[in-house]
Amino acid sequence: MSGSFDGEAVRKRVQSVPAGPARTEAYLAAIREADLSGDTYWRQNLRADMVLWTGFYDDCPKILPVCAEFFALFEEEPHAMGAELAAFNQYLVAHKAAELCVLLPQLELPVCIGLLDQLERVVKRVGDGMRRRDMALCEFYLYVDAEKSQQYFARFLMPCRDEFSSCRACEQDFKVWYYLHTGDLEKAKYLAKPIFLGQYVCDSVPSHTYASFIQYYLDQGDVDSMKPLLSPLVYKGLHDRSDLLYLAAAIRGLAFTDPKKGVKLLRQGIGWSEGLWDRQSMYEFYKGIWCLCTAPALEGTRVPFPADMSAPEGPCTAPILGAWARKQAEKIAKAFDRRNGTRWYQENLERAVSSTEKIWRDGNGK
Amino acid sequence: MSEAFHFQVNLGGMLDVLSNHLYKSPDVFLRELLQNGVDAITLRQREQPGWAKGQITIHVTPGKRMVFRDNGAGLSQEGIHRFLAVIGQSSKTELVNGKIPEDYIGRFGIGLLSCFMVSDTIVVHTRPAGGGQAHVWTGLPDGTYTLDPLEECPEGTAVILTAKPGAEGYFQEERVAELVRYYGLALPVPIYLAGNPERLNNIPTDFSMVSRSQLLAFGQWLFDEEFLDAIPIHTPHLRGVAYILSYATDRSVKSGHRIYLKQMLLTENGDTLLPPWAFFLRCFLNTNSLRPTASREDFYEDQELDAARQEFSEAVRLYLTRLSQSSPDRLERLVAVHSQAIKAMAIWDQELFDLFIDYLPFETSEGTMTGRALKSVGEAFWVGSVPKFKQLKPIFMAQGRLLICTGYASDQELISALTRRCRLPIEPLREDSLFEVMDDATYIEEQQAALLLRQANLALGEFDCQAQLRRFLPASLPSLYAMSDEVQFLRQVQSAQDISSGIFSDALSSLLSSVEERPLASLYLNLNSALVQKLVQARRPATLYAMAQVLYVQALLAGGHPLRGGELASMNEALLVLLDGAAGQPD
Repeated sequence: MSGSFDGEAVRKRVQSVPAGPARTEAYLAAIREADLSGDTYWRQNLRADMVLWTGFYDDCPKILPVCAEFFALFEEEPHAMGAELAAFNQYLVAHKAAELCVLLPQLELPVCIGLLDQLERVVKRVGDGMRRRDMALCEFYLYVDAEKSQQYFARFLMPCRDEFSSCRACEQDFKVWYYLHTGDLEKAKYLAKPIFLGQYVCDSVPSHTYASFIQYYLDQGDVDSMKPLLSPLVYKGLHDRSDLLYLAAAIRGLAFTDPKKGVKLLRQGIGWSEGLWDRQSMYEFYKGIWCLCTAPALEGTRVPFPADMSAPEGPCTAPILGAWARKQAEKIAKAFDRRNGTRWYQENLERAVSSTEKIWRDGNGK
Repeated sequence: MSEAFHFQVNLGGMLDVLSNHLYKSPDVFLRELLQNGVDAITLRQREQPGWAKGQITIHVTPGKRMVFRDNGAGLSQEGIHRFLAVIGQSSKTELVNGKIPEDYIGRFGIGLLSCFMVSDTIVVHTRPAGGGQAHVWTGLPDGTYTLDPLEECPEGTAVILTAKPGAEGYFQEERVAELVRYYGLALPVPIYLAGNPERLNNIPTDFSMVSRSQLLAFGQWLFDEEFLDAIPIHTPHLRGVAYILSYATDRSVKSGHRIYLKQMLLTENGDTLLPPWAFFLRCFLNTNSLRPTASREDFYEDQELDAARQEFSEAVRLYLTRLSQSSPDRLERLVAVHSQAIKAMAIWDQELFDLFIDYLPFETSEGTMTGRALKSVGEAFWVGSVPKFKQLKPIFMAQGRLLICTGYASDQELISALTRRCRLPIEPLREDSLFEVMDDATYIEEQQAALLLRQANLALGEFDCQAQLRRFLPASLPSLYAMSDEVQFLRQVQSAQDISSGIFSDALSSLLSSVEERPLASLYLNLNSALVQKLVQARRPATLYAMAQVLYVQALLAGGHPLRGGELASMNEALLVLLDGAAGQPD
C-alpha cells in the first residue's frame, strides 16, 4: 500500500496552497492521506514538514499534537526516513516542541522541563545542535530563573556552529534579544549594528530585532530612540499571523507617533489573533492594544474589537477596548508567572504601564 | 599614564578573511575590478574635462591569465603605496563637501583583495594619465608586495591575474563576458573583450523614453523570460523597470532581481529595497543615492532607503491606477495571474484596495466571485477554514445562501474590509450562527425525538459531542458535524494523546486539563432527512444508540475529519449491533 502514495506530489500540492491557516489545514489533510496509505516515510516526513511550516509561519502551538504523533511514529519505525533525514527531523521536531514552553503557560513546569530534556536527549542522539538547544534553554529560563538563563547563554556561545544551528541572523538577533532583556543596551546596540546594516537577514531578522528594540525603548519611556525603528518594521516586517509579536510592538510604538495608523494595524492584528493559541504573542498584542488605546488622539474614537470581547452596549471606543485588553494581558501574565513561579510578566506589564503613563505625562507622544 | 601598544595583525590571515569570507562568491572579483576601472575613468574625466574616451578592455588567455585594463587616471608611486598597499584605504574616500562624490562606486578600499580568490598574485601595471613614471606592483596573499619602475605601459591601469588551481573556469572569455553583463550591464563606460569590437554592456541610459514593447524585449533578454507587463520606474532614488511575471508565484520563491548601485550590480535580492508584496515583479533598478553595506551585497538601512521604498510602491501603484483607466483588460489579466500578491498589497493600501477590490477573486459556495459581485449579493457569511467551507458548501448551496471561504492568505482581511467600507451584510460564520442555515425543530418534534436525542447524547458524550435536532437542506444529508476551531484543535490533541506516551502525553494532558470548560462539538440531525424521520419513530434504545454512533462517524468522514481510535472502535461495535438486529429480522 505504501508504494502507491506519491508523497512528493502531495507535498507539492500542499506547498501550492497560499500561505495562511489554509496551508496548515492542507498539511493536516496531507498527513491524513499519508496515514491512510500507511506509508511510514511520508507519515513521519509530512509531520516534520508541518511542524516546520506551521511552527514558523502560523500559530506555533498548533504543532504540539503533531510533534507528539511524530515521536510516537518515529519510535515505532525509527528507520523509515534514513539516518540523515531522521536526525534532522527528530531534532527539528524536538526543538520546536521545546520552544512551545515559552508560548503556552498551560504546559506545567515539569512538562516544560521534560520537553527540554527530550531536546537534550535528541541532541545527544544526533551528536549536534548544541547551540540551538542552549538558545531554547536560555530563552525559557529567562522567565523562570535568570541565573540559569545566563549560564545557558554563556554555554550557547561556546560550541561551534553546526548543521542544526539557527541561521546566523537568528543567532545574532538572539544575542541582541538576550542583552536587551538583561538590560545591556550598549552590547545589544553593538551586536545589532550588522543586522541593521543588512549583513544578517532572514525571515525573522531584522523584524524581530526591530520589535525587541521598540519594546525596550518604550519600556524606558524613550520615544525618540524608538521612532526610527517603526517604519522599517511596519513596512517590511508584517506578513502573516506568526508576525503578531512584531505587529504588537508596532502598535505600541504607533500609539506615540501615529495612532490612526496604529488603529489600521490593530484591525489587521485582530484578524490574525482570532483563535490563536500562542499566548506570548497574545500577551504582547493585548499590551500593545492597551498602549495604543491610551493615545489621547483616540479618545472617543470608535475602534475595532476582537470577537472574544463581548460587544459593548454603545460604540466600542478606545478606552473601553484598552481596559479590556489590559485585563486580558494581566490574565496571561498571571498564567505565565504562576507556571514559572516568578513575576516576570507582571513586572513587564507594570513597566509598560508606568512608562506609557510617563510618556504621556511628559508630553513625548503625539 | 599606561603605555599604549599596537595590535599585531596577521596580514595573511586578514587577507584570507577579506577575500574568502567577506564575499559570497569568487564571482565578485570581476565586479571589484569593474568598479575600480570605472572609478579610475571617472577620476580622469574629472581631472581632464572634455575627455570622453574612457573604456575597459579585458584580455583573456583561456584557463590561464587575464589582463583587465582601463585607460583611467592611473596611479603614481605615492598613490600605489597609499591605495594598493593599505587595506581600508581607498583613493575614492576623499570627501567633497563632506561627502563621497556620487559618481564613485567604491569606497572601502578592500575590493582588489577579492582577486586573491582566483589568483595567487595580483600584478598591477599603472601609469598616471597626468604624466609620470609607470610602475609594476606585485601583491601576494601573505601581505607582501614589490614595486618596480616599468617602461612599457600605456596611461591607466592593467590588473594581471593568473588562474590559481580550481579557478581556471573564471579565465574563459564566455565566463568573463557573462560576468561583465551580470555585474556591469548598466555601467556607463564601454567594456570590450580584447579583439572583439562588440560592446558587452550596451543598454539604454533612460528607460522612461523607451516604448513598452522595447522594454518587454529588454526584459526578456535580460531575465530570459517573457513578462506580462513592464512598469517604468523613474523616481528621485530609483531608475529602471519593474517587470510583471507571467505566472503566479509567492514570496518564498527566490526573486532574482537586478539591483544596481551606481550602475554596478549590487544584489539580486530585493528584500531590503522592495516591499514584501513585490514578489510578482522582477526588477531592473539602479540607484545612485543609497548606501551599500561593507560587502556591497545589500543596502544600508537609513532614511534614504525608506524614501526609496515609498517611491517604488508609489510608482507601481500609480502605474496600476493608470492601467485601470487606460487598459482595464490588461489589468484584469494581471489580477488573474497575481491575485495573491495584489491581495497582499491591498490589505495595507486603501487606494490599492479601492482600485483592485472589484477585480479580486474569492472562493464562494456559488463558485469564484469578484469583489464587485460580492458588493451586490446581499446577506452572506464567511468562514476562515477551507475544510469547514467545503463541508458547509452543499448546505449553503441547497438553501441559496452564500458562503465565502476566507481560509486563504489575505482573504479574511479583505472581506472584512470590504464589508466595513461598503457596509455589506456579510458576517463571519461562527458555530452559533449556523442557525442561519438551519431551522429549529418545533417543541412537538423535540418531544417526538426525545428518545433518539437521549440515546444519541449518551453515545456521543465520550466524544465531547452533543446531538441537536434541526431542519436543513439538502434533505439527502442526514447529519452534519460542526465544531469550533477550538474543538477542532482539542480533537487533534486528544487524537495525538491516544498514540503518545511519555513527555508528549504529559504535555497534551497538560494542555487538555487547562481547558476550564471543554467546548462541545455538535451533531446536527436533519429532520428533513427520511432516515432521521425513521429514527425519530424508532423505539429500540440500543438501535438508536448504535445508529447515532454510525451517523456520527459518517458525518466526521464526510467533513474530512480524522477518526480517533475510540471513534473507530465505537463504529465497529455499532455496526455489529445493527447487523445483529438486521440478521434477526424476517427476510
